[in-house]
Amino acid sequence: MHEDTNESGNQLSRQRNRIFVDKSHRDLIYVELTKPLDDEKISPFESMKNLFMLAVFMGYYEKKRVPLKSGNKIDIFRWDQLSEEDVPLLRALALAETGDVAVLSDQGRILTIAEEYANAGIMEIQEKIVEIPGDRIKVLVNLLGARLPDDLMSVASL
Amino acid sequence: MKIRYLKLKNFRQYYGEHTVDFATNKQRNVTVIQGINGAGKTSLFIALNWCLYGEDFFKEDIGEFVSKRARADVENGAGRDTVIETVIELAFESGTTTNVGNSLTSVEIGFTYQGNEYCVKREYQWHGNEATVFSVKENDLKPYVDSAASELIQQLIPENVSVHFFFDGEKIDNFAKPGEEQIQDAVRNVLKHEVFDRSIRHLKDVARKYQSELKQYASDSSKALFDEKEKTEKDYDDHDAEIKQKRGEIEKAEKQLKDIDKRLEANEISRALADERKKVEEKLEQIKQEKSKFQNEEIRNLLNQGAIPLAKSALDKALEILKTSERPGGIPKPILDELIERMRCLCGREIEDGSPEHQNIQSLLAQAVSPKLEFAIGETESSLKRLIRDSVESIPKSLKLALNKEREMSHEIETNEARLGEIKRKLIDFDEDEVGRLEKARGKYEQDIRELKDHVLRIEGRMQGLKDEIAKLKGKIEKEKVHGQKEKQLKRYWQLATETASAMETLYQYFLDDKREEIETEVRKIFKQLVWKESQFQDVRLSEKYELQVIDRFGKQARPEMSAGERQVLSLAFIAAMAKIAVEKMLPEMKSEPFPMVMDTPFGRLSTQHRENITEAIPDIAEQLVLFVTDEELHGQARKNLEPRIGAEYELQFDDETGSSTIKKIS
Repeated sequence: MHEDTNESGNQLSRQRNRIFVDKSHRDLIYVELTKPLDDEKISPFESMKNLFMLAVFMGYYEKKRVPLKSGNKIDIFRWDQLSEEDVPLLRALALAETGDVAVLSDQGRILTIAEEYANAGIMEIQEKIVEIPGDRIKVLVNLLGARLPDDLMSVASL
Repeated sequence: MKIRYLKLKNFRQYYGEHTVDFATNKQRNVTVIQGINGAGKTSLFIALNWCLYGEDFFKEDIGEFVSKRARADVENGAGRDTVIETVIELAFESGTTTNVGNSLTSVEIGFTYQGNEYCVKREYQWHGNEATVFSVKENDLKPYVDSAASELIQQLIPENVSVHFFFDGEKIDNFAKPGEEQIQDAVRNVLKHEVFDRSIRHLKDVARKYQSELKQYASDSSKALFDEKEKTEKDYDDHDAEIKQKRGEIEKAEKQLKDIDKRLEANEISRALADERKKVEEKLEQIKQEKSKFQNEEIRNLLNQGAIPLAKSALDKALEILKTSERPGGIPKPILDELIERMRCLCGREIEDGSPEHQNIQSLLAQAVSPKLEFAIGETESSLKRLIRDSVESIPKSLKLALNKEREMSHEIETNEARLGEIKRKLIDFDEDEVGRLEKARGKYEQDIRELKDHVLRIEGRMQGLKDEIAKLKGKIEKEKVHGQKEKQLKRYWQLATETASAMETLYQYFLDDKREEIETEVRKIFKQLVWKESQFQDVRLSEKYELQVIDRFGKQARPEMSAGERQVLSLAFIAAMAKIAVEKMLPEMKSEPFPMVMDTPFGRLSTQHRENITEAIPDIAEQLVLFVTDEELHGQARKNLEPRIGAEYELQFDDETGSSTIKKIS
């Protein structure tokens, strides 16, 4: 299945770099949750990238994966903006999803899987933000806390 | 400019005539005026401003400025012929210590100051009818009166410059509170550039003119858009006016609140509770700030890493796949290639073509992954193990701890708020009428302020919406097709005028930013002078939003943890810097002129240590310094520090029986 090393290597260098989301999500929620407010009320997320990462695993938690509509997507950051924790997280997701180790060198496939989960996860986040008024950081932290696996929370309660 | 003396006659609680001679000596440049709360310090402060600028100067109600006792004298039969005079004479010399030589540059702009002596006198007469006479006498010349006198004073010490010299200590704290607009207002006020202001105003007028002309030629759809835009702009302006008015009301209510607090602190019965409230309020403010900082930093940081623990099941599954997946037995592809080429095993044995060993190597080679994938697999495996070991469990743990800490802070806030409620109830229930009445009034002001602030927030939200709306409408209008030649031309002019106005506004902002840096440098210099040596604070910044920030020795912004006293030091530095810049900008020809600084209860909130530091450094921030202090503010080491710099000292004594104050010279 990995016939040609060189070709595979070249593929890697040509692989896509940009991360896409639905256009309406970008304006309605990615910008909204990252734009700097005044000093007293800071935005919940440092970057669209951080919000995207949370959305990916929020979607994975809900087991919802929704493909992006072509022609209606827009890029919000690049692969090289991912941190050294983000990359293995996305690779692990792709691996868990496909069961195929070859996916690890296929940046395009990794990103598509992540984008589709984020596409579903971000809707969860948006719903909660609209539904529950009040401090957004607080709302989001509660949303996160409720979804953390029980064994982690029991570790946490020690 | 140095103030020589202040002479009062029947002004507020000063019955009869009183004089303060200020220290003008270069070394002994400090005048101390001492008095307990209510003795009349603030009245002296008001007297200075009233004398120079009259009643209009005061935004809030300062009450009756004629001595009640003097008025009673007249009313109680001292005869209809008696005239009450409330006189304040403020004499100052200007320029005598500067070294401008024989240059008379100041003459050219129409007023002299070098070596000139001025005597400003504002007289109020009450004799059936009221009359106020304002005069400024320059040397032995015939005095300027009324509007001519006002004009002269505005030239010598413009009102917006004087606010930086005559400084009300109660306002000091506001400068260093987060989210205060006062700094920006102060900076803008000092740096206000008439040319910019006028040009922007003018261009906007021109744009409006073209807009209304353009409307006459425009299509129905364009016309509708123009109407909509005008309506929205009007709406925006109305909101703007409303917000200004509400802010004025907030300021007024806050002032009233402070006045009540002062009276409660002065009353023996309520003093202890009023003092405690002050402390609880400060504590509360501090915890609230800490909590907000904690949420904005710690908790937000954990939220931003939230993907990691949430990914736990994916990580476990991926690691399992990596462990069980059929991968080459660890022999890298280049080695297998080498074996096939040499047809010899690593142990030296020959490999025969078609032998089981040969077939085995060939099959391994078929499965071998590219070095890149190999690398990705290895890297992923070790990263996953590291993430699971280091972060997956620790992030929820930290989150839980952080949420607990946040709860504790909330609890502490609640406890303090409850205590404030208790204090309020106790004060209201006091048998003594005065205290209960004051406390009730206080509660009303507090509620007013809360409601006004909510109202302002709502208006701000609406204004943001209107602003977006206006921009959208403008975009739509620009896209509308134009037909006739005249219409095309008008549209071009209209666009040009609007764009130039907005470019001008941007330029103005650049200009202000430049100046902001100048102010920042000055504040930093003075702050370092004032702050104690072992301070953990390293630097001061004036942010782009005109917020004063203190940087601690770890390079982090430290303000939320600053005590009220530390904030006051910061504010003092800001005030002194602004005074210097105000002179440089608004009275450039008087740049080398010494200026006085008058401060009303500046050390009120300072701890002993700050007080000691400040008293050591403060005489150097202005060439003439007048300090109105309470006896508590200035004692011990702080007093000793100031001692060699004191050139004149007075004590204000209030007589309960007559309700009058007297000014007693101490040294």
